[in-house]
Amino acid sequence: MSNAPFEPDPLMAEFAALKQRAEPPSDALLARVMADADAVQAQQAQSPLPEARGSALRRMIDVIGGWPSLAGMATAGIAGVWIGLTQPAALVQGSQVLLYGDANAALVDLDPGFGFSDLDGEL
Amino acid sequence: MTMPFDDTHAAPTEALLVLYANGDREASRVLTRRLLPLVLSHAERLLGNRAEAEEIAQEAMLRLWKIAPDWRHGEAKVTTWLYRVAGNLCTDLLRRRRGVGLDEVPEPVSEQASPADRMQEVARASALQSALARLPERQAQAVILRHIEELSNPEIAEIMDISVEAVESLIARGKRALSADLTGQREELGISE
Repeated sequence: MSNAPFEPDPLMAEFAALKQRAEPPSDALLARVMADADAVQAQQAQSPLPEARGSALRRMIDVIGGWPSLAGMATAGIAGVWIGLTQPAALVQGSQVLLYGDANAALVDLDPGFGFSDLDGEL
Repeated sequence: MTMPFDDTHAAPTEALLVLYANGDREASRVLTRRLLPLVLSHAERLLGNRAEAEEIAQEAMLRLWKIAPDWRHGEAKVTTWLYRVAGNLCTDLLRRRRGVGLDEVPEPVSEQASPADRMQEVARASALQSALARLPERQAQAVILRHIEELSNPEIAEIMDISVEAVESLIARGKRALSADLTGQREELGISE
């Protein structure tokens, strides 16, 4: 860390002097600027009011979060249609198992010591 | 639509601009008295000429009136926008008439200082104004915004549409050049450091 002593800005006196030099606007300039304001205001009052920013569609899109959200929704929609049309095998199989059940899927080996060899004599 | 006197005078600048766009005449009076001194003094410091600064200030305010209905809240401060417009107008003017003498500014009188102090103050201000006029426009603008208008570097960056690092560099180079320029002038004018 530097231990250099604080050095005042060598231009400080000049900056301060120039700062004090600010003269307020003259009455004539104030009057001209205010006249401009009135003229522009009158002109804007005569011109037809602009429509509320954006159409109904634009406002609806804004409500759901803008174009990025709309793009996400569109992608999800297209993916749904594609899945519906192509019926991927894994999905069909999975849904059948869920809906109708499957004997193989229900097999549970509760006794690992029990084997088919134990049944040889009985069959 | 009008607001009671006190409410209008205390209202934030952006709110006044909305009132103006909605037809409130008083709002333009308050905005003019609040903003015109800022933009006028900034233009005068950049140009070193009162008459030209008045024209620039009037033009910058006219642009503000015109943009009022389309003003978007939160995008920029009104003062930042005005400094930028005035700065660009001044830069255009300076580039058109670079090299013309800039010593026509009337000297204001400080009532508190003694005559000797007043003379020193006037000499200092004139010397700095002349030195600023010899700087490249962007350096002069950055130095004025930082050390005379006392704005922060991020705000200056927004006004000048450059990075904060670029602002720091412009100010450092500008001050180095001013110091070198003023060292000789101080001796000539008999100004104490």
